[in-house]
Amino acid sequence: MLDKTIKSLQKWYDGADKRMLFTVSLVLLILSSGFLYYNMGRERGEKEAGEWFLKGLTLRGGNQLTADIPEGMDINVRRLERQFADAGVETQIRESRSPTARRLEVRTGIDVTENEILDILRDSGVEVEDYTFNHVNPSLAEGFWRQSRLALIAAFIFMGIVVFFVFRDFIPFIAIIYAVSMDMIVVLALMQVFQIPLSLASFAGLLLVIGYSVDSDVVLVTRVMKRRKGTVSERTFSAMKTSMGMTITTLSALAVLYIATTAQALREVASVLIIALAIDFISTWFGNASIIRWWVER
Amino acid sequence: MIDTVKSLMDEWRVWILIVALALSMFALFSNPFASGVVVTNIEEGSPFMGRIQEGDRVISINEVPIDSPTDLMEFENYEGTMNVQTSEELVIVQADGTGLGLIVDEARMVNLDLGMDLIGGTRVLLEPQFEEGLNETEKNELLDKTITALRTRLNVFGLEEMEFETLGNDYIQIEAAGVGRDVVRELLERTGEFEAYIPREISFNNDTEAEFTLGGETHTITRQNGDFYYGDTLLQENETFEVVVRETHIGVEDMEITFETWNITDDSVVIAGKIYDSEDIRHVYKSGRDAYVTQDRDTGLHEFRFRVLISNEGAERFAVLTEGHEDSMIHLFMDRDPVTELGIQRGLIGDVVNEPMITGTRETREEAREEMSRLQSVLDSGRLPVELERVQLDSISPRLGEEMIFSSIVAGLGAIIVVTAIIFFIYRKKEIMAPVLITSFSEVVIILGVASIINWTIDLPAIAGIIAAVGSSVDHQIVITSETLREGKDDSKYSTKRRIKRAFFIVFTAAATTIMAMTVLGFVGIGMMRGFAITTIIGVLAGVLITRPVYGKILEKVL
Repeated sequence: MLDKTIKSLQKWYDGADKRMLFTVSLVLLILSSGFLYYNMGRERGEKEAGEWFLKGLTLRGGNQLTADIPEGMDINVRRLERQFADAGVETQIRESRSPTARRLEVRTGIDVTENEILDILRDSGVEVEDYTFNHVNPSLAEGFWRQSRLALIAAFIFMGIVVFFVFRDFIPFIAIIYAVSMDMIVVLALMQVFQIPLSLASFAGLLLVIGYSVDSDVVLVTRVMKRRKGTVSERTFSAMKTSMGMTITTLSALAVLYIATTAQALREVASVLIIALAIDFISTWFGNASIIRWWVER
Repeated sequence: MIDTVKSLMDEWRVWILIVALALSMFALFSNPFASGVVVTNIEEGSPFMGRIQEGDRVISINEVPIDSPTDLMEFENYEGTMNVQTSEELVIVQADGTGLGLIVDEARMVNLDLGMDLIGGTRVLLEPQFEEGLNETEKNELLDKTITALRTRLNVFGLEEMEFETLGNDYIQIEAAGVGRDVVRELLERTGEFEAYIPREISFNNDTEAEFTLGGETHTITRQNGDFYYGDTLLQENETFEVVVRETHIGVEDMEITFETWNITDDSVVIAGKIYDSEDIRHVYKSGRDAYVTQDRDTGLHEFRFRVLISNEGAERFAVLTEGHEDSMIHLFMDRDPVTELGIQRGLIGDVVNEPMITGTRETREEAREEMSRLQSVLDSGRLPVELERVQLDSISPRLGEEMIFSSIVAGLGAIIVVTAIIFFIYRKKEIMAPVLITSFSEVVIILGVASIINWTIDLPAIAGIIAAVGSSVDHQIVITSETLREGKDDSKYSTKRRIKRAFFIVFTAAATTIMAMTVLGFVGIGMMRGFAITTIIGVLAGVLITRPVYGKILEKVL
């Protein structure tokens, strides 16, 4: 069954127009950029209008109280938010679930103390015993945000240098840069869609995306350009099979991580990478591969 | 199977892996039965000083096994010779019954430091608010002093143990494992206001006026309808009033002294003149000839002495307040709480003393030492040299932390098992499962082993890094597998060696990119994600240099 699916996939991929495949990736890239731009102008959840990305506590600043919700207790997030508003405290409240626990996350500005949050919760009938409290000063968060952007740019440049040094050729270099940039932009756009905040953790995920993304690109470029055996499309497809194996295994490992862990930081890393791997498949085999095939066959 | 293992044993790469694994396991499980207690600190004057090192384990004393700090406490006041078996050697220690001076921790089975986000506790990041124009050396000195002052507060207030760390000259980080946020808040918010007073009891003997002298000048307190007045000021308990001494015996004019009314009875008042506060304590000597403990030959008591440098104003107030009052006592207060009372040497009465010696006696040397360091801390813990702004606070409930460790282990094991199953499904070769498992687990063990050797704390980001490293390891195993399998049958032109070499070209390129990206990450967010970066880098390096070559070799043999 599997072999048959792969066979038909290969047939379709061989027959498909390279320009068409490339256009698909380009359209996705443009749509994502457009969405990011459109999204920037809007206020959305905790993201203010004028900001490009939804940012988590570490990059935005504020206070956050996280507590387990006792079993059997029903919590109406909207009502709770209203109760905080009545007390003059602006909050964003979220309920998150994992197989082992239900969590309540209350986020406020930095001028609200943890005791005030606990008091309002208690008044609303939510008794919290054990909790985690985080406080990040907005000025510090601003510094983190600046560093994060710089780091992403630096990592990108280093990646470019490595790739250029390894292939010493302009077209593969451009193709890989195209694929990696596309991964980044589409992932950032999808993070806005799924409301995954940029945080130091999800940011670490984004940096790893560069690594994973280059993985598949390098497999492709090496197979297609450094081999002489078989036709270009055979070589491309063999690289694709390898890459598919990589994607599927990594995806499943990340899915296990996402489901099993209760740590928000790990979930953020996992979800960023899951999205990225899915996108990477398109960027590599529709984008990068089309450029490389066109160039080798020309 | 046996032949395969035998032929693998001829490979030097396999031996490197075996050695790396053995070293890692040894580093991680150097104490498999968690015996003994780990010495975290040896106090000054401890009989163990110079005998054992911090980090050593005490396993038994006089053949009695020591398995917990409580076991060690049994020997706290032991007098005589002790045969102490440590993790290093057998040492003989002479104890004088005044305490062992050891601070110990329970030994752990796994030699790994777990981060605060996994075991619970509080972490605070403070940003010092420096004045403009300080250079880096000056900032550094101020930060060092600030940390010393904070440590002193810990001692004085008897707070739980915390770790202080400077991050460049930009931040101070305080980490307190297993400690609630209130303790850290107390540490930062209690400024520790020190004050010293010399009280005077003024009796009226049923008169309406009573006199007292300050630096030779006479002042008067009057009584009207049962109330006492200094000039026009009504004296009330715990209220202060200012006294100006026009001419003093030391030649200073118009000296202002703050008095506080302590006690009012029908026929007397006790007023206390403030001689010093935190501002007046310029330096507290801590060592050498200026701070020590001696034993009196006759009484056998232990006496501590230490010198303090006082501001001129403070020294002058001392002279004026003690002049003509040989029985003066100095009362020390910390945050309005009485700390102790000190007598004054006869020879110093009425003198301007800039460097008084503070002395006291105790029954044992240990007690004398303790009292000395307590007093030193009190005198020293004025305001912090630099104002600190709290910029980040994380306080993690120990239970949530525990849950995270558990769920991370489940996630890690689950991921490896699922991935192995999928690889089997893709390649349909059961021979491949063992190498995949060996490679993945080896990498985890080596990452943890290296973390243990370099004393790297495993926190949540570090766990994410381990998972990322294993993820990319699996990717590379697939690259190696497919390169090996792909041209295996019909293309004899390429030797297996060459094919694997080509696979490693891909692996190295990808590894180089990942290492670059992670190095960058190490510098972001004052190193908050450094754990992620470090474990990923260790994992990728271990993978590229040690485990993945072996994976390639095993594939060569089994496929």
